[in-house]
Amino acid sequence: MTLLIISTPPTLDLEPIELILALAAFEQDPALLLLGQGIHYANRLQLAKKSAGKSPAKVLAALPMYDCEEIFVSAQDLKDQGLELEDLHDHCTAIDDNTIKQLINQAKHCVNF
Amino acid sequence: MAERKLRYTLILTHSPAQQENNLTAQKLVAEILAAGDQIDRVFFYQDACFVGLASQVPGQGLESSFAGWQQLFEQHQIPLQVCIANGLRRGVLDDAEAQRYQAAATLHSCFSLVGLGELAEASQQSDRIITL
Repeated sequence: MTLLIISTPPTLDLEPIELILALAAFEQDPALLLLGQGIHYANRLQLAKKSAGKSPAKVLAALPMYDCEEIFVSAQDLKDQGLELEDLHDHCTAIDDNTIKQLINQAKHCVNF
Repeated sequence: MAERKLRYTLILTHSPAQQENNLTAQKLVAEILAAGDQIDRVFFYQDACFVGLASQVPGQGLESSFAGWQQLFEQHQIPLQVCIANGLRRGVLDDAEAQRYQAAATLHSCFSLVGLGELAEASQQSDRIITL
């Protein structure tokens, strides 16, 4: 499993998400972990970053079609960002620091953004 | 029994304006090769695609961001891969794309434009992926 860890806020072209979609399309069993400001990728209220662009949460909604059905979010960082799980995309699961550690240990590769 | 070589893929995401990031990556590549291991590819993603611009004019006394990569490429034939989608958005075009979009080619000859499938291959074949 390749774990994409996003801890930076959404970019104009959502390039980290393009990568996870590509890995999923090539059946590489990717998983997504959102930390810190990266959690805003899954924030339902986050709008497209440029005109005619796509909102990050809408793009994330495509992940289940590629069998990437779970998006992991740090429970502590979610709280620190002033958000509730209900503010996020449907497929998000909040996990504690120990579970994050386990997830990273299980991954063959971790790619950080 | 000889130890198996470790295979590495490096992913760079930062603009070459952050010169230190490039220099760190180049030093890391040199160290990996010196240790007898293998670099499968260096992949330039997001603003790191600008590294491959042949049209860079560095400030006085400075080197263009691709100079160190060019040296590594010429000495070790390391694949230097620029993400095609990210590159096109930033005006980094090879001859084929320049022809397709009727624009000028801007990619330095030691780099190649490739798709994200290369990173899918990296996740299968490389023992280590390092993001810088």
